[in-house]
Amino acid sequence: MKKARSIVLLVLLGCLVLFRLSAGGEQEGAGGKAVTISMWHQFTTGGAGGTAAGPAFDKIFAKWQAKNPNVKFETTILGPMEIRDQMRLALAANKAPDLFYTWPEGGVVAGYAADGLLYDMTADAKRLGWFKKFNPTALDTVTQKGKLYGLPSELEYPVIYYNTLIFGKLGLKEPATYKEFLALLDKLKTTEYIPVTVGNGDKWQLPTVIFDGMRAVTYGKAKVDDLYFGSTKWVEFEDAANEAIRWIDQGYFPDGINGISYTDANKLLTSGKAAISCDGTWITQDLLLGAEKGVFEMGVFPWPNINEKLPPTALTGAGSHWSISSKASDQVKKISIQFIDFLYQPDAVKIWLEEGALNPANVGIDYNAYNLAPYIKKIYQMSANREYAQYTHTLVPENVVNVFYNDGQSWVGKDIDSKEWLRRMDVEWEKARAEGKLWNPRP
Amino acid sequence: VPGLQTFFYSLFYYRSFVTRRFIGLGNYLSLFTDRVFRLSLWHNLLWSALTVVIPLSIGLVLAVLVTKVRGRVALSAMYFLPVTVPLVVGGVVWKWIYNPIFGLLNYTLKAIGLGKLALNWLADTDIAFYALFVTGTWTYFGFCVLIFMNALQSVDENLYEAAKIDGATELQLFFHITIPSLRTTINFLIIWSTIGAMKFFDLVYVMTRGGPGHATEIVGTYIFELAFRQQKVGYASSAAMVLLAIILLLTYLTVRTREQQ
Repeated sequence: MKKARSIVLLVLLGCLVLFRLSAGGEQEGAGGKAVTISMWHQFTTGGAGGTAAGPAFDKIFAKWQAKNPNVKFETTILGPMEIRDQMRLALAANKAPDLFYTWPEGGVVAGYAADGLLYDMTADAKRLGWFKKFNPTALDTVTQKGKLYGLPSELEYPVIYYNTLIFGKLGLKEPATYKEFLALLDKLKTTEYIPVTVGNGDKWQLPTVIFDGMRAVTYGKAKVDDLYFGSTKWVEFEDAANEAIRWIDQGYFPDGINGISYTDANKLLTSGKAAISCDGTWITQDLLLGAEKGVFEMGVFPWPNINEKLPPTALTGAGSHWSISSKASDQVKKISIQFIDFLYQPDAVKIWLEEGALNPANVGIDYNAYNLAPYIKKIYQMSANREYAQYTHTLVPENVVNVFYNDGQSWVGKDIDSKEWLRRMDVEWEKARAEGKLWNPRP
Repeated sequence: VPGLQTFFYSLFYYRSFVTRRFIGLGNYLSLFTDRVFRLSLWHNLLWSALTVVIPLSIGLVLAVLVTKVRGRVALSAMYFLPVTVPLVVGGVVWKWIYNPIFGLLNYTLKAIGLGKLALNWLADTDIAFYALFVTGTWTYFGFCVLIFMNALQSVDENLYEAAKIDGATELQLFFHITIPSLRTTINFLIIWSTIGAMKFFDLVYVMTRGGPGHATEIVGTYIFELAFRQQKVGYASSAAMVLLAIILLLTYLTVRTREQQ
């Protein structure tokens, strides 16, 4: 009896061990070798800062699944802010998913790469022609010391949205120059409308969109690049910071912008209370979803150059990127590369553009060949023909972002002046440099 | 064990979550020169002091008044209601109330002709902390009312009767009988409030995330920023250890003062 019980126990134990071994990674499926890939992404169906490309992703994903029935994805969907925080913890705790679509890039990717947490995709990228297929500026953002650690998904541009109904009612036209833009804002100030809606309660919109936007069109790509790769200091961008403060002093923004959330600021535009919003392409679809009928119709124009001697310049950045955990198995890495390559094939690009309001980072897209809303076509076309100056908050290390956001609120609230804010940026910048945390795509 | 683990972490410099090196007490030395840490600590201490004075006083006065009126159960339930609201939910609601454009507070002030008092409650560095504290008081005073009401039931009625016969006024009854009789309860609430104020987090994180600038930064939000955003795990741990030491010290001083009394 005792012997029989021992045999039963041994068999049960054996089954348990076999089950445990087969639970993760790979397992035999009915149609051959099946693979399980854990994936985190942020393709929610909208919301503040969301990509609003969820349904488009689902459609492309379904096409992939139809072709690859033996690949099973265990998917977790997180909001844009949550994924940023949770990826950091997951990677550190060795609990990272195999494949993830996250942000930011630059110094943060560099940090993960230095810790050996990300898979080096350089060889795959060469094999699949990614270096010719994708925007080099975007590829740079996920490259550290010549090695590629991610595939940039989309290009984003800060642009200026306006309500065509208000412009029509007041007889206003899109400005072609910065001087015309200021005259337009002065005119709007005399009306019942808020000239420009902005919410800095979440700490990022003033520094990221207004200051960074003004920096790009004041100093241009070369000077901004020199901050990252040369000797330029943050304090040298003081004119752009002062110009942003001048906008506050002029009353172009609503009162109490440090107490207004990004979402509430957008509501001011879509509810017809504000005429203009300095925002970015990531919010296009959400603005349209939130628009009150007969109250808001979207128009858009680019930031005019403040420095007219510069070529037309656009602030830009990779919105988010796909990366693969270095801890994933070789087979999972291989299939993940195939999957993300599939996401940006011509058929998928069409879905992203036409149904997802998302501008893939592929080069040479002929926007006229797609069925796009006129304002979306205009956004992409006007941005494609400009020099790109890189964002701050997607490229710099977290200690610099902390000053950019938090001390940025003090700067907006005029507790510190532009020079002091930028001086503090320089202090953190040098700390990051000393710790080897700065982004450097060059080999 | 978590305390020891935190102390252990505090002895390291973390380049990231996974790369560290031993630096002894280096993190603690850095804290003394950290402008944001000092400001955060000051905010915690100020919050503690204000909590000990304001919600406790409101709670005591209301408890005394409520025990003397009819319908005290309904009234005490009403006061206690905010305590049952999760702090995160309370924070979101008050954030709407304080919204400079859509907010109920400014809307009401303007509607009754007090538009000049409509302020940027959470955007102005001079008032954001106090605006937050009002919310904190709203979430907490009901708890004090309830505790004081229970304590008042144990005060000997004969003391009041005797004092009244001797001609004592209501104020004299309050200061010479009620308050001394509630000393134990008051001490408990002081300790409880101080500890609560020092480890406060939710409301500030939801409403301002320590902003504008660092105007409402407290040690809890700063530790969160350091540990989970900047990956400075060791430095954040040293801040947590200092906070723990201060809480223990304040508790010890309060208990000792009570024993001496």
